[in-house]
Amino acid sequence: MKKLLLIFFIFILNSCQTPLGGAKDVENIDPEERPGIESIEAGLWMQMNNYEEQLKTSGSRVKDKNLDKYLKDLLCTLTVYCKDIRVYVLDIPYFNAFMAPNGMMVVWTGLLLRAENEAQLSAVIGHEAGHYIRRHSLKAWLDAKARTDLMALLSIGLAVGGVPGGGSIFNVTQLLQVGIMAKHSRDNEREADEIGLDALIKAGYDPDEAPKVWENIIKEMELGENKKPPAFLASHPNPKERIKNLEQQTKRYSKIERKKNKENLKKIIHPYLKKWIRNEIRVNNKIEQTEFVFSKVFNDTNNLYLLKFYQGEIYRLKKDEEKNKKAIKLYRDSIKENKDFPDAYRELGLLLLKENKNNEAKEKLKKYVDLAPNAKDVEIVKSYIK
Amino acid sequence: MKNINNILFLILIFVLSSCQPNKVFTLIESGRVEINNMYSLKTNKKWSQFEQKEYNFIFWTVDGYTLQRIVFFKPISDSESLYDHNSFFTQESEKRPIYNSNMNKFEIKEFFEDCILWSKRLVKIDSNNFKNYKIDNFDGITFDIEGQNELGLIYKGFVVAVVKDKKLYLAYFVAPKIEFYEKYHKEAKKMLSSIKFL
Repeated sequence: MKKLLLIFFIFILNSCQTPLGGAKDVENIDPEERPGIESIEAGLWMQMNNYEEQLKTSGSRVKDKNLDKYLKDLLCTLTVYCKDIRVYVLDIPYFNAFMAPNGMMVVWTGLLLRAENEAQLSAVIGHEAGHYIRRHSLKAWLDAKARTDLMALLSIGLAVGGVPGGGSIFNVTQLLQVGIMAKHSRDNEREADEIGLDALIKAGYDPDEAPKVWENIIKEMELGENKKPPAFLASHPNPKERIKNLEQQTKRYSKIERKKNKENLKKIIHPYLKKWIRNEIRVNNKIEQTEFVFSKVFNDTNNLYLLKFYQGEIYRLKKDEEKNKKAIKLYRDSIKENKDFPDAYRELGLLLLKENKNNEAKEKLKKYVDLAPNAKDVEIVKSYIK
Repeated sequence: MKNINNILFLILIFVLSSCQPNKVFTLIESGRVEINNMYSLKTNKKWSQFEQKEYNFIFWTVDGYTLQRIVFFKPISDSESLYDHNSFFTQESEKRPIYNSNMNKFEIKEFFEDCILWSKRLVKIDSNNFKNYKIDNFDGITFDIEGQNELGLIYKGFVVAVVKDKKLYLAYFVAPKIEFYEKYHKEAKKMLSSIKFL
């Protein structure tokens, strides 16, 4: 009976929505506001400032003035906090962005590659800015601190109450703690989504693009090894729930523009496309998953030859005979779409050599040399022609 | 008392046996030196050789691993990777780059780059000056590399590789671009061009 009462007590506490530790009293930060030097927030900022110093010189950082300026300008069209927030790009081929309490925003190249247009990228940047404006890191920290103290007391309470097994008590309290934290964190994410969408609409972007970010992620995850996004115990709301919330919020606005600005984003990431695509293949995800990402990157008819070529690369890099045949077909398709794209001839020629189709292989490799006589690898290609 | 002495003696033996080193540094004198029963090469400088018995590579350095190193991989066979030891394994291990003796020269270059990035030796890598190369009359490739580690230190170096009896023989030199690359890369080139298979 005692055990049941204790468990009931824990569930009551768990369902209690009042944030602990003063997190509820935290107000929005003002533009150019800095925390008082003796505050908890100043401590969080100091730690993040140290991390930011390391990040500035990190080998993973993409250091490009044009890209930095583009992201800064985008941020400034979305929020008045643009003097407070600094955006860094890290060369990591996964969809991710995060916001530190001191105004350091980090965007991964996998996100820049996956965003189909500026409106989608704005949805994410506006969302991250929302975390800063609402001081979510500070709230989460205060909440976590209070929960940790409470859970330590509960551990003792459960032990005294005779719930068997010290180890399992620890596990139960930890599980609850993680559950509460994740719930709190998901609430923060919902708030940030709302701020992000508001900023996006006020800046004239198409709000229908915001849910598309999540639709694409759901599709990509479904095609991957894990099949579905982790919903419970995750720090973000379920993507399907996010889509629904964003669509409902859009209905509240009477005046909506539909700017997408696809070309702006594609132009700025163009110099990196080959490298980021290669990094994406290097992750070695399931073929269907990577194909889906590429279909979003090259989703207009002018780029069909690139889509076919990089699909071919996905198959070639799996290095198996059947997949080589598929790669050969895709390289041929790429050449059909654009007869002057040298890389497709080189890869097709090299694969045909493996298939012992030497005459055709040499013909394709010669075509590569004709189209790209000054390419860095031309000497090696010529050695295969010989 | 005699029993206690015996116990102490056994403990001492266990302690000593657990201290048996599996990491060995050896001083390499100048002259022609054999490496892992694979090949010999000629050096004009003294180097320190590091060897750990589980690893499929050894490396030579003068000032330390991060300041300059020549890494010699043991022959890589089909389905193996450059970094196959357990200590490199993560949950992503099944996705590690795998060597295939059917690889062409471009794919061998890709394989090396993929392995370096996968093992996080460097977080960025670019290749240049990709050329045909012969090691002891076996056809192979060489290319220059430039990259950065996580801390942002810029490295330069070069790679040589040949396939012999379907096995990949690969060695690379790398050093920080500031000071150490200039100081050692010519010597490293000379050394790797002097390789003779045993």
